[in-house]
Amino acid sequence: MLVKNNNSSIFSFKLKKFILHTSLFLALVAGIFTLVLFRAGFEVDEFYGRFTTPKQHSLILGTSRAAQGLNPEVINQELGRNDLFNYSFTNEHSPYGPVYLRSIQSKHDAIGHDGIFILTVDPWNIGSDKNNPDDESLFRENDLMLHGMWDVNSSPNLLYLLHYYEGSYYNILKKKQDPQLHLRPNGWLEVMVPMDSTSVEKRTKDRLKLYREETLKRYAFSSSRLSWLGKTVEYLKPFGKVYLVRLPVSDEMIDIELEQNKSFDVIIREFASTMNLPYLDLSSDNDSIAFTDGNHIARGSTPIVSRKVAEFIRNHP
Amino acid sequence: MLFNSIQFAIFLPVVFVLYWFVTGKSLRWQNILLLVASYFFYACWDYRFLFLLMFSTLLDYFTGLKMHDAPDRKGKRFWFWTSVIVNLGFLAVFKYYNFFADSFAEMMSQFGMQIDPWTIQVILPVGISFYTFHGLSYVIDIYYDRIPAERNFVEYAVFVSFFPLLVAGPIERATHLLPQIKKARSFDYSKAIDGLRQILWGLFKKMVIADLCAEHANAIFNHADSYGGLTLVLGALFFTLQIYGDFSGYSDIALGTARLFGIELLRNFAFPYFSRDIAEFWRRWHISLSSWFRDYLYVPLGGSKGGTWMRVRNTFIIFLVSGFWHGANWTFIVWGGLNALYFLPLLLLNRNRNNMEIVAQNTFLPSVKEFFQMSITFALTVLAWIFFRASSVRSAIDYISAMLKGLLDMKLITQSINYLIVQVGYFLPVFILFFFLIEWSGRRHQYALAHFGLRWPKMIRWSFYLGLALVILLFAGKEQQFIYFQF
Repeated sequence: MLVKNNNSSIFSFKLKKFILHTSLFLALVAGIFTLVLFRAGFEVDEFYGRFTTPKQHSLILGTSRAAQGLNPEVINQELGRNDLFNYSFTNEHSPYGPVYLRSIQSKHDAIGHDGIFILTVDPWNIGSDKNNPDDESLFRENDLMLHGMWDVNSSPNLLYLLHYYEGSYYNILKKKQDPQLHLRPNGWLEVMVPMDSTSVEKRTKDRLKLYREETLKRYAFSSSRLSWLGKTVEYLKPFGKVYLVRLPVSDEMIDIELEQNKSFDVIIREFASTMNLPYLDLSSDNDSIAFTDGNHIARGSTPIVSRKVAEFIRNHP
Repeated sequence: MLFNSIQFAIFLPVVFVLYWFVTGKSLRWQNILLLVASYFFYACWDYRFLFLLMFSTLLDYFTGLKMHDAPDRKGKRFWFWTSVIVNLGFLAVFKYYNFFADSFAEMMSQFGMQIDPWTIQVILPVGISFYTFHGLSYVIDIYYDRIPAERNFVEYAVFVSFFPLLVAGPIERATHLLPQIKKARSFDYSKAIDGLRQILWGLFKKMVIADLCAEHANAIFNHADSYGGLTLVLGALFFTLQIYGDFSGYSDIALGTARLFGIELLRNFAFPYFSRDIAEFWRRWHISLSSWFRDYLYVPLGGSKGGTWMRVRNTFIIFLVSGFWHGANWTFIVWGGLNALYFLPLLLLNRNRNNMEIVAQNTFLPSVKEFFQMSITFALTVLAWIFFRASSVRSAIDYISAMLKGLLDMKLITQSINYLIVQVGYFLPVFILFFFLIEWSGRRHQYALAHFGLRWPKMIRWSFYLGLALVILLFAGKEQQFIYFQF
C-alpha cells in the first residue's frame, strides 16, 4: 500500500511538473504572440482596420464600389462634419441581407438623431443565387467573414486576427503593407494600381469578362435582399438621414447591369419613394470619372464622386 | 477539427487533463473518455458520418466475435466475408462509385454509345479509407487465427477510433494497438515531453513547410500553361515538399499526441527523401500503409515466393491498388504504376533489399555515390508526384512535356529566377534549408527532432523550442486542408 502511495505521489508530481513546464512554455509563446498582435494596425489588410475603430455615428454602406469610391474625408469636409465612416466591404461579403445588417448594428453607435447614412445600391448587392434568389439560406455571405465577426469594435481585434486574417503574422510584426491597398482610418480603401492605359485596359477586360461570364450567370434580382435593404433603412432612420446612391460605372458595365435587370433603376426609385428616401443615381454619370477596371472608381476620381454625393446630401437635408 | 486549429488547441489539453486527473485511476474510464473524445473529434467534421464509423465498428466487432465463436471453418468464412464485403462495399460506394460510373460512360462513348451515368452527390466521409483498413486488418487477423476476437466493445472501439489516428492514420494493427489499450497506462514525463517535441516538429512541417510550399505548388500547377521549364520544375519540387511536410507532419502530430496519453502508434515515415533507391523509399514512406498492403495483399498473393513473373505481377498489383487507395482518379493509378515501373529493375536484379539501413549510418555526410543515388531517387519521386498532383493524366503529361521542353530556354530560366525572387522570396528557402538540415541530422532517430539539442544546456534547448514555436506562429502559410484527409 505504501509503495502504491509513493508511486501515486511520484506520478502526480511528474504530471504536475509536466503541466507546469508546458503551461509556462505556452504562456511565453502566447505572450510574445500577443505582443505581435498588438502591433496590428490599419495596414494589416483591406478589412481589418474597419473592425478596430469604436462604434460609428454615420456610415457609408455597400460593397467594394463604395469602399473604394467614396472617401468620407471629402464628404465630411464638404458637409462640415467629422463622423462619416466607410463600412463597406465587397460584393461577396456585404450585399444587403441579415448578415450585413447585424454587422451594421454592431458597428453603429445608436445614439443621437443627426447621423447620415449613405447606402449604395447596384444590381449585385441586391442580387442572389439565380436558381432561387429569395432563399436566404443560399445567400453568398452566409459562411463568410462578416457572419462570424460578432466583435467589430476592438483594437487589436483578436477575433479577426485569429480567425479571418489570411496573411502571415510576420507581416504584422514588420508592419508590412500591401503596396496597392491602403485602408485609411476613416474606412476608405485607397487602391494604388498602375493607371497607364495598357494596365487599365487589361484589368477592365478581365473584370468585364468575369462579370459577363460568371457573375451575370450567377445572380438574379432578389426581392428578399430588397426587403433586407428596407430593414436596414428602417433600423438607421431613427438615428439620422438615409440616402440611396448608385455609383458610376463604365458604359460596358452598365450594359451588363441592364442585362442582369432592366428595371433595376425603376425598382429602386419605387423603393426610395415608398421609404421616402432621397435617391441619387450616378451610374451613367461617368464622363469625367476614371475607373481602375470598369467597375471601381479610381482614387483620382474619388473626390469628384464624393463631392457630388456631398452636394446631393446638402440639397436634401 | 484540424490538428493545427484553435479548436484542437483547446480540445487536446481538456482531454489530457480529464484523462490523467479525472479518469487516471481507472483504465475502463480512461478508455471510455478516449472513445467519447474520439467520437466528438470525428463529429466536428460531420456528425452524420459518425453513424457510419459506429456502424463499421459494430460490424467488425460482432463479425470478429462470430468468427471466433464459429463452430467450423465454413461459419468462420461466412462472417469473414460478410465483414470484408460490407466494409469494402461502403468504401466502394462512398469513394469509388462515381469514378466507376464515369469511367464506364467514357468507355462506352469510345464505342459511340452515349450513357448518362447516374452519379451520387455525396461527400467522402473523412478517414473512411483509414478506419476501414483498421477494421479489415482486425478481421483478417482473426480469420487467420493470429489474434483472438476482442470481447470488450469499448476497447475495440478505441482501437478503431482513437482520435489521433482516426482521420489520416497511421493505419494501426490490432496486434500492436489493442494490447496497449487493454493495459493500465501511467504518465511518463519524458515520454510526454517527447510527444510535445514531436508535435512541435509536426506543426513546423505542416504549417511552415507544407503550407508555404502549397501556395507556390498551387499557383504553378493551377496555371501550368502560363509557365514552362524550370518554373514547372519548381512547382513539382514545391509539391514534393508540400506532400511530405503535410503528411509526415500530420503523422508526427498524431504520434506525439498519442504519446501524451501513454500510447505508442506505428511509425509512418522514416526520412523517405534520403532513400537511395525506390525500394528503400517505399520502406520509408507511409510505412503503415505499405506494410498493410505487404501483409494483407502481397503475402496472400504469394509474395516473393513464386517465379519472377509472379513477383512482377504481385508488385504491380500492390502499387496499382495502393495508387487506387489514394483516390478515385486515374492520376493515382498512373502514379502507382509509375512507381511499380521504377521498382521493376530492382526486383529483377534482386537489389530491392540493398539499402535497409538509413544512409550514412556512421558518418555525417553521404558518400558521392550515396549522394548520387539519393538525387536520382528524389528526381524520380518528384516526377511521379506530378501525376499525383495533376487534375488529370492529360494535364500531368502536358505539365511534364512543357517542363522538359523549356528546360534550356533562357527566357523561361529568367522567368523561374523572377518567380523565385519576386514570389518566393528568401524566407521559404531558408526554412527549407533548415528543415533539411534538421531532418538530415536526425535521420537515425524516430523523428528528426527526437535527439536534436538534447545535450545542450536546458535554457538553450528550450529557447530553441520557443523560437521554433514562434516561427510556426509568425510564418505559417495560408491554412490548407491536410492532403490525406481526402483519402
